[in-house]
Amino acid sequence: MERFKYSLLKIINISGLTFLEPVVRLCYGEEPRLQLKKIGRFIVIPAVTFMIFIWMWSIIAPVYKTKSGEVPTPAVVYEAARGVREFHDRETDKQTAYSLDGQDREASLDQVQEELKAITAEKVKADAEVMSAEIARKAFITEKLEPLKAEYETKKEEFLKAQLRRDRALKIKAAKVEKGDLQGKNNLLGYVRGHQEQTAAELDELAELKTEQDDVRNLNYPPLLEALKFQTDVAEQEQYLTKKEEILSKSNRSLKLDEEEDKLKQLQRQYASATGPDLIPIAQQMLRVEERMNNISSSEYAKPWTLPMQIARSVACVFAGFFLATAIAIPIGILCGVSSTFMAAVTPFIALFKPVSPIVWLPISLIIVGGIITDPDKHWLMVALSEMPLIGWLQINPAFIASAITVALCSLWPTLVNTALGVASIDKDHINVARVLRLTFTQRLFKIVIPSALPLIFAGLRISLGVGWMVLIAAELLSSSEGIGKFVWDMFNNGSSETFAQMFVVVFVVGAIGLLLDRTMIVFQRLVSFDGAPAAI
Amino acid sequence: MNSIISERYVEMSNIVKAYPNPYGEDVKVIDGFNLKIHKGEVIGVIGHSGCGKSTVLTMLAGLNSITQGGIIVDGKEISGPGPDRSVVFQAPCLLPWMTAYGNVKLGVDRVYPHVTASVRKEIIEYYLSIVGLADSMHRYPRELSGGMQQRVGIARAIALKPKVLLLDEPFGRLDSLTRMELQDVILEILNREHLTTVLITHDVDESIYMCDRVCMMTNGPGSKVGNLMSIPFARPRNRAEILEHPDYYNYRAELICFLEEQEHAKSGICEQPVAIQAVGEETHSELNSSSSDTSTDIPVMSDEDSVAMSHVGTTD
Repeated sequence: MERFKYSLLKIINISGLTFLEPVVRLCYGEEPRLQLKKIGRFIVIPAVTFMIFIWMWSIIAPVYKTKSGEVPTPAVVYEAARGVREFHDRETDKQTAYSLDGQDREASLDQVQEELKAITAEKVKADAEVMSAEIARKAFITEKLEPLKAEYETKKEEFLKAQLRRDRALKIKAAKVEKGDLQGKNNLLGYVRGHQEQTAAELDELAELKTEQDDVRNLNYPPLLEALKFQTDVAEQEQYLTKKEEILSKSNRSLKLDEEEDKLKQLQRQYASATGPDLIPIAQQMLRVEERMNNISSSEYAKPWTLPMQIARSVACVFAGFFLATAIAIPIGILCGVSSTFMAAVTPFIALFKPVSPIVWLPISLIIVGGIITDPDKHWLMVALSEMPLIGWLQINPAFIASAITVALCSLWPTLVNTALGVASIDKDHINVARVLRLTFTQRLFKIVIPSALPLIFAGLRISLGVGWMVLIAAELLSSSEGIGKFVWDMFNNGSSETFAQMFVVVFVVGAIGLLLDRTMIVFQRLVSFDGAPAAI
Repeated sequence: MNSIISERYVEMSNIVKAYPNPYGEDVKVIDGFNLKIHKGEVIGVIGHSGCGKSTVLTMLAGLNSITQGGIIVDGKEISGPGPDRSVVFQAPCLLPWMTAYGNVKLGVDRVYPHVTASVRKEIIEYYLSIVGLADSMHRYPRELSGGMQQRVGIARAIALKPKVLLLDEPFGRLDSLTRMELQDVILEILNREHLTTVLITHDVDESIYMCDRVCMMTNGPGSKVGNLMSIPFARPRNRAEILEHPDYYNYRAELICFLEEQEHAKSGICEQPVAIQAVGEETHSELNSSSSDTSTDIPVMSDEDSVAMSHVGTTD
């Protein structure tokens, strides 16, 4: 038990999840007071802060209205996340439906038809609910509107009368003014001004009342919103089921194959009975059908990109760029650290290119990659990548490569600088050991230089990966390479309140993945640090 | 074996070490250092901190360039460091990403390139076991105590089968109990391997206990060999016997007298003859008054450290 505890604590320490340490210690009954205090500080307080953040967000967000609707509240964002998830599940389902055959297909078809029946009933119910909610809303609005309307009418009438009264009084005053009565004329001017100001104020008040009415008319009526949401959900579900049924009963791969096979059999019969020149057209037809069958059997359902797939593609892209950066930065960094001449040669480039923004690198690399891969469908590299088993579905294209190169160009600097620093600052004693043993250059490199620089190299790699992840989202957004950035861009162009909320979902997704990547690098960093010093968090 | 080479196995002649001084003439830290070391002998180099002991050793190791003069080892002039002159540094200088075994292996692989892996493994394990690390050879340096780390350093150095073993204050950073243990470990190895050894130390008792000859260096700058003293105690040596040996305090007195003389080099001269004549109880009590006990610690040095620090920048 004790040993298990210590290995658990060691894992926690290496993984950097130190906030779990007091929990483990508490479970083993070690100094409960101290552990509770630590739990309070490292778990309860962050959780409470997060709750406060959510609460403030839900209060502040609806206040601000944009052309894409209100700023989404946490609840709306959660709904949007669910929507994203559901979209993905449905598309995956359709994809499976496309490749089902035989009994599986029939069973699935039966099930879908069953569900469709159920959903029709649901739909009727949803429509009725919406109807009744609309009536209820009308009543609710009218009830609120009536007093406002009445007030408006009274005020209007009152103001009209007051204006007439003031008009008349002015006329009487004007009649009293003599020709040479300068004082009287001045006074009259004052009265007229007063009358005009009064009238303008009254008009403003009326306008305000009008706006108030409009506000009431536009008031959200939660039951109606709920009913509408339910209706939309049902409609979406129905649409999905209908589409699935269509796939299962018409466009399913095995069905199409059967159809073509029937044609082929018929043609074969014709071919067997025909003679002479008639044979040629039939043979040609047979070959065409065979080719079509080949195409169908390797075809897939044309699945649109969903967020989970885009996330996977983004992660693949960031690692492609990161590994490229590592492959460039570590050798150059080692050379920089070993030779001050090389360092002097490279320093201007580092200084010049390090501050360049990804926004500049991206178009350049897009054009260069586009120049090398002029026809993506035929280029050997693209073909080879699209046929690879695990990454084929990522549909690697020039935009993907350009994004990865941009990531590499922006993220290689921290690794390069850290590697150079790590190599240059090797303990002099270790160098002396190497000199006494007369180690060869390669032995010195692999036995002394690299191991001793490894902790700093990994610290650099960690920063690089973080930079790369930030750069990637922008690069994808600009290059329209399928991924999280593209998702954000599509949602932005869509401009509805739902897509607005989905952009908020992306914020959390990007943050969570970035956190995960960073944590992974921390683990690596700790595993290579030979002195056992804890890495900074 | 050629007797001349045997007599002058290591020959350091007219060694000068100068460092450039931007405000005047070069500073000669070592000036005219001459020393001949016999094959298989253990020679101690003693002197105040900062007098250039370590500089002499690093020049012999080839880690430090020689300004003038030359060093010949086994009939060949040295150029640069090499495994034939292995060093045990003051700090263990182990590579922290390797186990004790790995640290020794690094050198063994280099020196025995033509033997099979299993033979090399035997060699590594043999040397680790003679320094008493048979049980912890697969531990990392961070898991070993300072004394154990230094044992690995010793094993690494002797496993190279060097012509000259260079010990640069190897016990300087250890507590006195560990120091005594390691002194015995090294003496035992030397009895077995008969390695020509140079021991840099500032510990009077250590040099008497371990060395066949002690070379006393004058204070820098421009330090050289001030005096040479033979200590013909028979080997293997036993600490208790040597401590009780009547000559022991003579040697001790001579060394301390030399060191004190160096300290007061400008003001006056130590009355060496008196110290030499005053054998036995008198000297003993005199020494006791200046040192708290007769253990290996020598308080003579402790006060000079601050004075000597002024030289450290140029000599070490």
